[in-house]
Amino acid sequence: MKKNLVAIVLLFLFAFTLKQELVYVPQNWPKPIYDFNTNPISTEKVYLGRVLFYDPLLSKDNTISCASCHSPYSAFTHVDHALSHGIHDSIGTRNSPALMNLAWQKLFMWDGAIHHLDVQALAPISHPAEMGNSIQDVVKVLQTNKKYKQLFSKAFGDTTVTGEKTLKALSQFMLTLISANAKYDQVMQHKTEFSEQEKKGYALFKNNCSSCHVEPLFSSFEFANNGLPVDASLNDLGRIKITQKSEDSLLFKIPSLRNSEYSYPYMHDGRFKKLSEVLNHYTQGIHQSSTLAPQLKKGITLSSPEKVDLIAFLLTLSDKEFIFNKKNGFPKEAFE
Amino acid sequence: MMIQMKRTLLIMLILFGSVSLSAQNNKSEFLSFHFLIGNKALVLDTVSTLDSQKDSLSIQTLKFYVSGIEFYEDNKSVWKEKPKYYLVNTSSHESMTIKLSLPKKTKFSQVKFMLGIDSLTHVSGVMSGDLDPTKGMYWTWQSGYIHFKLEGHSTLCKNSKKEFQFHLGGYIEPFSTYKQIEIESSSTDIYFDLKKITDQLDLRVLDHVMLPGKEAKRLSDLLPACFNAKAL
Repeated sequence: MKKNLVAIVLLFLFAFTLKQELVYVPQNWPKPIYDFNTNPISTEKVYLGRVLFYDPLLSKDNTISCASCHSPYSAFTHVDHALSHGIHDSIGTRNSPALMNLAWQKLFMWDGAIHHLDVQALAPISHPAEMGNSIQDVVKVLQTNKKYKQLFSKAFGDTTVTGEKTLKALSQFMLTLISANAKYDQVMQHKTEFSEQEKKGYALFKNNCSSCHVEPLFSSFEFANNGLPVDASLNDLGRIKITQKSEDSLLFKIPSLRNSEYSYPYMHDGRFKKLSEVLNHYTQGIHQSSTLAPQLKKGITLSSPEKVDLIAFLLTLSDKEFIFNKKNGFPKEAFE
Repeated sequence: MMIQMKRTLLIMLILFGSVSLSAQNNKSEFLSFHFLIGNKALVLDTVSTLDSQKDSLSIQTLKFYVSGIEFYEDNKSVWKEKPKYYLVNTSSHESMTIKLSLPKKTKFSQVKFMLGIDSLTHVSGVMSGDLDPTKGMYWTWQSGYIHFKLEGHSTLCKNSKKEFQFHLGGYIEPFSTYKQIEIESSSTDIYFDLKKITDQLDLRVLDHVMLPGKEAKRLSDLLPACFNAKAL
């Protein structure tokens, strides 16, 4: 009888876990790029990753966590900070990207320097102007920490902390950051309708923006030169640094437009604070160069009312449920 | 001269105890790496005088990845180890002998292995064991393994710390530094002579390479010649 009860409870828990759908493929989305077979998702691993994500223990002086520059309320970027902000008040050279729908992306960072989500966290952990630490020291600190011993044991079945486990747990949490319930999504699922203005904006989007900001993820996640003049103080030439190919000069990763209402400022160096400034760049500010995206060679023409309509559409990509989802937020109980 | 050579050999034997075991029957179940700088055993953090006599060199770090170990006789493969990556690290004596499953009486005249990490493993995410990024052989600012790491000091270096750092990696052509090593040998003792690289390096001009590209490729092209069947 007791055995049966245990079985029923276990079954119930299992069903409950499934129902929570930590990671899922939203309707009409392509197949994820991330290979989940190499890192099977579990509630415990996601939770460990979440605690690590919010823990300043990962930085050299215990002041900066991943969430410092990737806050949930700004779609996991850093509002008002054009450039990333690290230990000792250091300022980096690039705008921290919003984190969402990462399972559908092949390369990470503005220049695609990172080729797998599992090794992404190594970059900010080690960067002297970000967390200024090393994965070796992170592992050492976690290994002696009682809370983490328990969390690693629950997640991986033993208390030994390794670089692999730490990074895979961080990946698991980041993989759960799926944003697919904006008004746009509900319209596509025929649950609601666009306003007249949003409808006009959507048509303008399809004519002018969608070749790079491909639906439904609102990015092809390729690299392009979108005509920004080089900031002389940063002299950032983008992807060429990684590939050393001249055709990659001034190319940066195309960001998703989802949640752009929350993820200002914009561009790799955060030079634009408002969506209207971004649109003005595309209509008036394109800087011609040999690697400029062909779609922008002639510039984009939009009237002022059209810009307003287009912004109305962009706001339909805001996913409040994602931004305020408690399961993505600070795990308070782990830090009490 | 003879006495000096004998003394060098003796020092090597003491330093690399495993040599004596493998020398007895000419084959063993261990692939053993022995490190030399010219005709002397390489000892970490010890100053060696360079040919010019004026300048000196000391090595702090020398480590690299080995995989795909295979034995050949008459150009035919006679034994292939199961696919696995080994980090050979001069600061860890254990790592310098790789346990093989090679049957003891296997006849072979050539040993082949790969130096570095293949491109598929490179893009397959985070790994465990010798491939765990805590081993200090993974770049952080750009994804990719360091295939070969050499660090040290030399009076030749122009920088204030007199140090040199060569982190050779890169898995994308035309700058791949993943190398096949072939050694004509019927022994499982492999000698790595660092002088083959230092002779080709001008530390006054180049004291570091820490990213994939042309220079990393050029230096890694020097590595196969460092591996030999016996001490010279």
